[in-house]
Amino acid sequence: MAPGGMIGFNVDDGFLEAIVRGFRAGVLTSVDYVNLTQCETLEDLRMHLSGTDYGGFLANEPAPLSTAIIAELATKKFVDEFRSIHVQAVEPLKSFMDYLCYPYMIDNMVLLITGTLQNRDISELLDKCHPLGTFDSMASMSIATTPEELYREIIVDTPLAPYFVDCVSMEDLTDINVEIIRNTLYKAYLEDFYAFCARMGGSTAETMCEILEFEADRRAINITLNSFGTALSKDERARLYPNIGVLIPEGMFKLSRADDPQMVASAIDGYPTYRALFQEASENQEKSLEDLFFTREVALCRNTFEMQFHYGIFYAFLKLKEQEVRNITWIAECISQKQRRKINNYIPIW
Amino acid sequence: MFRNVSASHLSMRSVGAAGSGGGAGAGAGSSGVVGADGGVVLQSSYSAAAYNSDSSNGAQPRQFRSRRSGAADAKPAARAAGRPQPPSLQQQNAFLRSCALYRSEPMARVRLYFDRVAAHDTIEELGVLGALQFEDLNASQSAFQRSFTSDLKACEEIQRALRFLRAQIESTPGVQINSAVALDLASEVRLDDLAQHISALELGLIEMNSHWDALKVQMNALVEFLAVFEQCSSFFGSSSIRMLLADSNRSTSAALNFDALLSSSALDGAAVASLTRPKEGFSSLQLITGVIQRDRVASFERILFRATRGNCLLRMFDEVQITTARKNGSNGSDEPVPKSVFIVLFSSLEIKLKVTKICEAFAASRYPFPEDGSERERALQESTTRLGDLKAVIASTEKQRRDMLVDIGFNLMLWEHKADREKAIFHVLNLLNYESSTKLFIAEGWATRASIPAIQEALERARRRSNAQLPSVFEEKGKVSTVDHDFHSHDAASASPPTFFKTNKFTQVFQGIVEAYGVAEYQEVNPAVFTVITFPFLFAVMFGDIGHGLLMAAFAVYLIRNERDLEQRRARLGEFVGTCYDGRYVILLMGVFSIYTGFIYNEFFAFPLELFGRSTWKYTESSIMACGVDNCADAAAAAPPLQTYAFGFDPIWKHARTGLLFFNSYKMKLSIVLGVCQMALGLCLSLENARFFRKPLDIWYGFVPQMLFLMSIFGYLVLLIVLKWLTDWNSASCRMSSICEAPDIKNILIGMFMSPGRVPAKNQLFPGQAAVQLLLFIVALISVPWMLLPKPLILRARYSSQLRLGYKKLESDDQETPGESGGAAAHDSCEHTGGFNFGDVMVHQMIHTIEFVLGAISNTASYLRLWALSLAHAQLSDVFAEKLLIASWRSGNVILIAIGFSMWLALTLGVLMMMESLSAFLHALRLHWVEFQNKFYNLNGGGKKFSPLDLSPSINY
Repeated sequence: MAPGGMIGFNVDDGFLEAIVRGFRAGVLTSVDYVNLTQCETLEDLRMHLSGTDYGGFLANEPAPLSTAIIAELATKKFVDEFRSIHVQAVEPLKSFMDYLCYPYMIDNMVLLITGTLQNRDISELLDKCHPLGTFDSMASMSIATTPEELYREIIVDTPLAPYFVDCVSMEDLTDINVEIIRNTLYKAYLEDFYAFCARMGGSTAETMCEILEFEADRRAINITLNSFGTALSKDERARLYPNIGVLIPEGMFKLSRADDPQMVASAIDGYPTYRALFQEASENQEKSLEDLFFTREVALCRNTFEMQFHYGIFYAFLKLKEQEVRNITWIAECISQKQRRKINNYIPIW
Repeated sequence: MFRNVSASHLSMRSVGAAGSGGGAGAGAGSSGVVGADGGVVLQSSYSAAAYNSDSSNGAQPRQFRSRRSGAADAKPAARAAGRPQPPSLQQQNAFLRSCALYRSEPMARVRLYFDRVAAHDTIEELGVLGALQFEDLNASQSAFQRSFTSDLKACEEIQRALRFLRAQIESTPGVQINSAVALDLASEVRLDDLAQHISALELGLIEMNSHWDALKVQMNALVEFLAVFEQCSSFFGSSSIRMLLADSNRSTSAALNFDALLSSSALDGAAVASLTRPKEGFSSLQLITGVIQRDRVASFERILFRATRGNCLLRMFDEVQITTARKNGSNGSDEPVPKSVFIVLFSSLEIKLKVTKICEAFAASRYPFPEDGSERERALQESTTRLGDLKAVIASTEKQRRDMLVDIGFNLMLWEHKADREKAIFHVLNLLNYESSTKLFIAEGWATRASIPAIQEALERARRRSNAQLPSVFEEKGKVSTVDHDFHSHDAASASPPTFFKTNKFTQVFQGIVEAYGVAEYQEVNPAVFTVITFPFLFAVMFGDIGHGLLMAAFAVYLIRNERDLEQRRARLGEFVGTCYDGRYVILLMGVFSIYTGFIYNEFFAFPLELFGRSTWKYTESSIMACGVDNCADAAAAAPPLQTYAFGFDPIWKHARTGLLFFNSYKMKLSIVLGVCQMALGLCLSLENARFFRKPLDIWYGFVPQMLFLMSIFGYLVLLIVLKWLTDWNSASCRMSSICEAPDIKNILIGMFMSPGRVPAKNQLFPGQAAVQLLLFIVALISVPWMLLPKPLILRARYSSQLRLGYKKLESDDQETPGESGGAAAHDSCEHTGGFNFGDVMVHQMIHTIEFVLGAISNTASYLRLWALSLAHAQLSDVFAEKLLIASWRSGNVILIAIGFSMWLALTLGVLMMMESLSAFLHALRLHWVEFQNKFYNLNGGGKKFSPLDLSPSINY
């Protein structure tokens, strides 16, 4: 019984799939967004959101609302939903959902390390961590001073340990090294997750591999674009590219030799999807390449709901909800800072 | 008032008639065996009806009065009757008012105009009255564009603060929320005052909490320090310490390595203590003491070990319970957090830095343990006194806070009610239309016709209360009546009035049974009237046993007697008892009817009774068959008794080997008879609907062929059953004749279709049977196309003639006259909506026809469940009685009898009274919903329930 196949899917995962599809019905639609963008104050926003699936999530907050509170509670809501699914999941869905939490762990870890490097208070940093990426010894991250110590004392207990092996040899924790650690971890994570999904077969492999390949390509392009003007050498940079994605091998090779954005554009010229994104970004001043990548991600996630009997929708649910919180936060920011001109720069989901 | 009383008698008579209709089947069916039960049915159902009329006269106005705040209870009817109305309408209304349950209350589309000043009071008065359902006049506006959104937000803010206060009270043990506060005072509280008061209370409480928290933090620190102090003292000062001190004095420093320390766990404490003494010369060994949360101990230990590479020593003591600070959120917790005291020993400064960092990371608080003895004394003393002071301060703060919460708790329910109520009022105000030129509010909605005078009075009261200059105006928009409703109106869906049945505590549960299937359309015939009797009756057919019926009725009587008490505890009754309580009157009737059918079946916990004399059969040695007591001259002939048993089954049948066959035959036929009667009643009600809504097409091409079809097949079947019952198959003349043999009714019916016009001799029941059967067969055949074809064809002809005359659909009159069409217009939607599609109508009609023709057969068969369940019930109770009661009784052993009896009791209560009754209930429900109501009820599914704004305190918003 292949986990990704149709036969037997409903035995273990049918119920949870149904639950997720139920949650999907609660995702804000474009009509909701139009209403939200018409709000004058955050109070109006609260009123509107209380009419949606968010319900009374802000009901117990005293009057002057802040964007941070809205974002925090909205995040808390989908995290709670995600967790309620997670605790009910059985293998292999359980492992799949564990995988979904790893990126947040990586982010949290990097946040804590950079925070400690800048001598920030640890409890303050812990508040900023994403709730999905919490792990046991997070708080003691500050005691490590070298990557080796970090690995030996803390990471070894976390599921990230196998991804960290490549970073152990680094000498010390500087800003750039932390970034390299982050990207190395991400690369290892993506490859591992990709292999996991491919092993599952069926529709799961079909949907997830497409999404993860896109994710890998996006990372490679972003790393390249962000590396210009830094001390990162081309060899080092090439090592950070994930070994998956549609850009492999030619696009990646060209990317690894790129010196400026122009060369990046020519590197991806042979790939219609990305070429279109680049073109749109250069033509349209309003939208950055980042936004367009998000739009593409949303589209891919949306597509997963068109199929049944696969795990992609669990991934998609998380990503869409995350995007939704970003949208709400954006709109709330625009309202509170009176930047109504930019308020429509959110990414509609449905 | 007088008119009302007489009228309700009238309606009750119709209920009685329905009951007798159901009972007549039983009477006819049991003529040979049962005596004069038809009369008894009538009587018993009539007594139930009389009870019904009592409660409807007594309880209903009382309920009404309590809801309408005592002002106008008797007046509405008189006023309404006195108003000038067209005569036909008045007649109609008088009739409708008389049968409150038969058709829903007549509704009026009303429009109110009132001054801006009076708006709030008006809505409040109307809400207390609870008689007006408001329509949204601002549907195009989004939530925050409406006028009273800011007030709504203010209400929500108050509610939030109230939730905070409630959470604070609930998390404080010993403080109660006063649930007995008079909610009627709500109208005397002003919202602005309340808002100020509540926010002041909230601020005060938050301040008090933070003060309390600060004190608590201090106290926790002291408690933790004392705990560390105590643990360290006992650790370093244990009795073995001196001995070990001496021991360590003798040893060299080199001998003291950590491995030795770790391996000798029993000694390590003391040894370390000796090491830490400066005078011993090992000042490089240092210690950190502190407190850590217990659930973090494991990872703390692990990290500590890894970070120092095992070069430290950790001792844990699980001792302290610390209460945490109270959060100012909604769920402030006061729970104690278990913490552990720890001591870390290490030797280098580098490790000290690391350990300090780890402690910070784990939020472990460190408390230095003074090394010097006198310093230790002083610290201990200081801490103890400070702790004593703090405790006193905290206690007084706590008392102050508690007093404040008790004060809040006294009025909290009232405030919550007030806030909910204001929110509801502002919500309704948001639905209104504001005419800025005249400064008038316009409200539109539905109200029962009977409540119009009360509404007018409420308007006037509100105007006076608010001292508004402009008078409030009441206007009834386009009379809603089914008599002169406009056949050609197109806005049926948007403006059909809501359905409202005035129920009392007796009828409401029957109404509930019907409405679980669907809400009636406006003024449609309400099957609840018939359900009152037919439902318990059909239940009892399946549950016939005097003993079980008595138990059930006793349970219901208990519930009814304790009604007042249970009503107050309704919310806490639990699901099962609560449901039983809601259905207490159904259960009572079900019990009573079960007793009655139990008498007919002659079963008392499965034992036959000889209440009406001894058996009329006797068994003689000379024959293998029994013969009648009064007719046993020739025993071998096994002649039946001349005088049948007075009432119900002869008790002897229970012991006869042919008993089961006899019961089955009787119950099966009875089921068919009852079923056909009930379905025919359903068809008659569809006729009643069609006549009421003036739809001749539905009569001539719906009701008539349907009735003909049903009667020609299944009506004939019933006739055959009755004829067979009435024929004396044991008469002397019959015995002589060789062909006189009871025919099989199934075969007759099959033969009627398979070989029309011919009847074999053995199927002959009455003369001329062949001709009658042929006629009925032809009628049944004709009625099928009759149902199918004429209606769509006539509709098409009408439509094309309209087109020829050049009529077109009017588009714009929808908004103009939303009130003019009755709910009835929905029935004609096929006929009059623009764009007549013949194909759709034809398919629709075809589906209806097929459904009816097939349904007539399957529904009749479905009534056989009456027999099946009755059989199951009788057999189950029989088995329980025989195998447990009688078997154990025969054994003569007291213990066995006790065991047998208790098992029988448990099974009777558990299996028969709970499960079996539930199953019979469900089947009765199904027979009503599917077999009865699908003939006439809610065919278009367009009914909407009347839901007026009701601000009475009993409502939970």
